Amino acid sequence: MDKDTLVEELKALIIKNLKLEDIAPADIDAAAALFGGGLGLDSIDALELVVGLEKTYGIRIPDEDVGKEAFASVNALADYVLKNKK
Amino acid sequence: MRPYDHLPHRHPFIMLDTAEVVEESRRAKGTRLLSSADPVLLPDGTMAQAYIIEAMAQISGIASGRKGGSLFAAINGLSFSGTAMAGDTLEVESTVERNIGGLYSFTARAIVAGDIIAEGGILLHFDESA
Repeated sequence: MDKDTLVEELKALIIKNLKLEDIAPADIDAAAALFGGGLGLDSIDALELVVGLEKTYGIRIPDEDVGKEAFASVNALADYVLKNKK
Repeated sequence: MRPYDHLPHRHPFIMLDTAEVVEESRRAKGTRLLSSADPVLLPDGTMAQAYIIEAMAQISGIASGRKGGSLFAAINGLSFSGTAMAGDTLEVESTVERNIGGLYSFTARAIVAGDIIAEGGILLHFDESA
């Protein structure tokens, strides 16, 4: 899977898993910070996302430090998934 | 085991009479016997749903294997499909889905006479600095 396709998939997964009903995939800037940014995501959302990503892509986000790196932006998340998915 | 020994809650807010660890730091189940004078019952004789959820959260706390109290952080996709009444034994069970640091996600159920009456996600937050 190429990265652009994955970025779009991840945006859709974020919207679905976090029930961000008022947000369209196009509203999410792939380079912008996922947390502490415009989406208003919090630590509970982070845990929801980890569970969703692990189920969907078979990846493992082992701890908070890796999570911080992986969740820096949608682009960073796509890189992490591409590198680690089974 | 006595839930009192594993939870900070006390009467009347401890929702469990018994608790049992099924799998260490992962899964637990517990019970509560509902009598007619039970303060968790509504005037129509059914157990208030908020207290059923609280019982699911308390067994989740035991399932985590963590010591000390936690904050009830979120309820996720939890739905009810039945009631618990005076005379019933409410059974609750919970399994750790995932944790990141002190934030834990659980799948929990409430069961009466073999039927699931409530099921869904519970999130608890344990203070890592404590």
